[in-house]
Amino acid sequence: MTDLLNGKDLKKTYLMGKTEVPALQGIDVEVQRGEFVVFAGPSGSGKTTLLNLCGLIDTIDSGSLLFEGEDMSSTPERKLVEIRKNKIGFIFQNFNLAPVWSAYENVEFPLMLLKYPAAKRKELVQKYLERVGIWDRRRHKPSQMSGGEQQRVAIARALVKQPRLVIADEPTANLDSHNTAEIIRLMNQLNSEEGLTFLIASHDPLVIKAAQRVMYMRDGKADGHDSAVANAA
Amino acid sequence: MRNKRRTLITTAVISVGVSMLLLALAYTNYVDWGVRESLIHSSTGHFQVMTRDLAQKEEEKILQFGIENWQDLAGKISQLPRVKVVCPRINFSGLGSTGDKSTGILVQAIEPGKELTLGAEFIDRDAYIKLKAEPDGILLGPALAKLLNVKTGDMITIMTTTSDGALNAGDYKMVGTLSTGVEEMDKRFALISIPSAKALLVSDKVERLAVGLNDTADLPGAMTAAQSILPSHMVMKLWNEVNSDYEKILNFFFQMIVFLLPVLMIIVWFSTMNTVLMSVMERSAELATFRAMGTSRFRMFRMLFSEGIWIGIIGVVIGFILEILFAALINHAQIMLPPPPGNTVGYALQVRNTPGIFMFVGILTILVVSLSTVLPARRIFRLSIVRAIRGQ
Repeated sequence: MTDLLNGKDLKKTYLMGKTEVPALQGIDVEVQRGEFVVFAGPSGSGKTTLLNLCGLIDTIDSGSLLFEGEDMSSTPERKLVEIRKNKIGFIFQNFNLAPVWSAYENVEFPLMLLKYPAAKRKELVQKYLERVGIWDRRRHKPSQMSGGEQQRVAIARALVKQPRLVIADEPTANLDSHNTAEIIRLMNQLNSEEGLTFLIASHDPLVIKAAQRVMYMRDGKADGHDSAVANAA
Repeated sequence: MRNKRRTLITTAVISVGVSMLLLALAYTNYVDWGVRESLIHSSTGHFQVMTRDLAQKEEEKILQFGIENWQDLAGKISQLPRVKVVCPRINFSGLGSTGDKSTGILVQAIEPGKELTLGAEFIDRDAYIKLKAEPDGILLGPALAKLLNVKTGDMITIMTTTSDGALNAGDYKMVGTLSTGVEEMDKRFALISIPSAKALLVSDKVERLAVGLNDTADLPGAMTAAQSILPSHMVMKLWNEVNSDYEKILNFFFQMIVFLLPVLMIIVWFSTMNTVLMSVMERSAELATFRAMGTSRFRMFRMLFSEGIWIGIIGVVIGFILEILFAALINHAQIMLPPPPGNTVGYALQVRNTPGIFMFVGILTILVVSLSTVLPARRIFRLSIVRAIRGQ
């Protein structure tokens, strides 16, 4: 396995009003291709912040972060946008689907950003909507779907451009236990069958249990008790 | 689409704004057309030909600077393409008297047949036909007839000085009244035929030739053609140089439009900006997700810009349709407006649409709507992905 992500002594501070909040206080992270890694910890531990830095949607204050061997700390914004567009898929706690678009249109959107031709877009959208088991609901809008179905659409949207890395922030937080189990099973399957790298921030025990490796965090630092290969799919 | 009510309200604001602005411009258009054509056909002609001396100096005697051999010149001008009619005219002042009463009058001498051709539907044709039938007749302003206490069939004497400066008088049979539309003028105005004037003034000259064209749009070409055949001592004056009322009336309406236009456009601007801004704020998480997925700021701005433009386009189209309907209703209703101050005749409220005003209002509205996306665009450009996804 090769390094996909390599972060050393990462620090990040946020300004909340006039108060500085140190979200990360010097943390190392290493993610190999094909891994299924979970950042776990209580609220305020910094797992979402670390996830955001790994997903290149936020910038580090200090430390170094390499993505596929390239230093991201001095990369211009335009290049970061390109990397996210081509190589990183996102899944969010609140699904964040466009409410006026159908499931099909939501999943198609990343391919339109990449300027794929219409025929190729159709092929990939169908493939991944079928993969997540929601092809027959492709014309429905998010308001016409359950939480589980919406999260499946979000997963398909994240996967359709065949990214190097899938970032998921609390993907099961708004789901019931049945749907949670389904989503976890799906992500494990994609990881094992297609070798997709998953990086997930969660405090859900079911998600933690499904991870290959868990990095425990507290107060913006690793708490020194990573669990490797906790539960391979 | 996300907030249908808000979008509908904004579209309605744009539609109503567009239709009201169009109506105001269409009304101004009608007044412009009406005043212009009315002045041309009932008063000035499209342009007038006169001696340079008449244009630049004051006459000491009637017809001192008149046109000699005017029939020859009128004939040549009539032959020019686009020219419909050439009307000889003489204007002079004198004393009108019935024996019992006398008053100062302003007399215009004309050829009734030619004036009927020039005047078309803009004049009281019956009055001119009466004068044509009785070449020795006279038409009086209604207020003048009342002042002199005369009626159709009565004789009126006009006393004036001849072209040589001698006193002369002539008797004329009143054949009817003719209103100029201006109250003060109607107390002084009288109309006789050119032959009557020639005998009274003892001159074969006329003061000026009023030229009527087939269409006002023919004016530049016709003037160029006329200029080429005019003797060097003759000049031409455009209709609006002869009578400055048009400019005064149009200035008034122009000031109204200058006030109304920005007011309406500001309302459209704020309404659209509010809709787009609210849309951006409500969709912060969604827009942040797009940014996370690799959408550039510029592309997101383009998405919002096109949403605003579409609202604008739909609003404009509906506004056009509304205005066409309102215009048809107004023109059909024949609502009579009171006479303007100093005038004797009211007129029907009418509006006049032209492609130009639609294009102007349409383009202006789209521009204003485009500008309304600028402030919301700033919000997009400053959007923090992390904060927006978190709902802050």
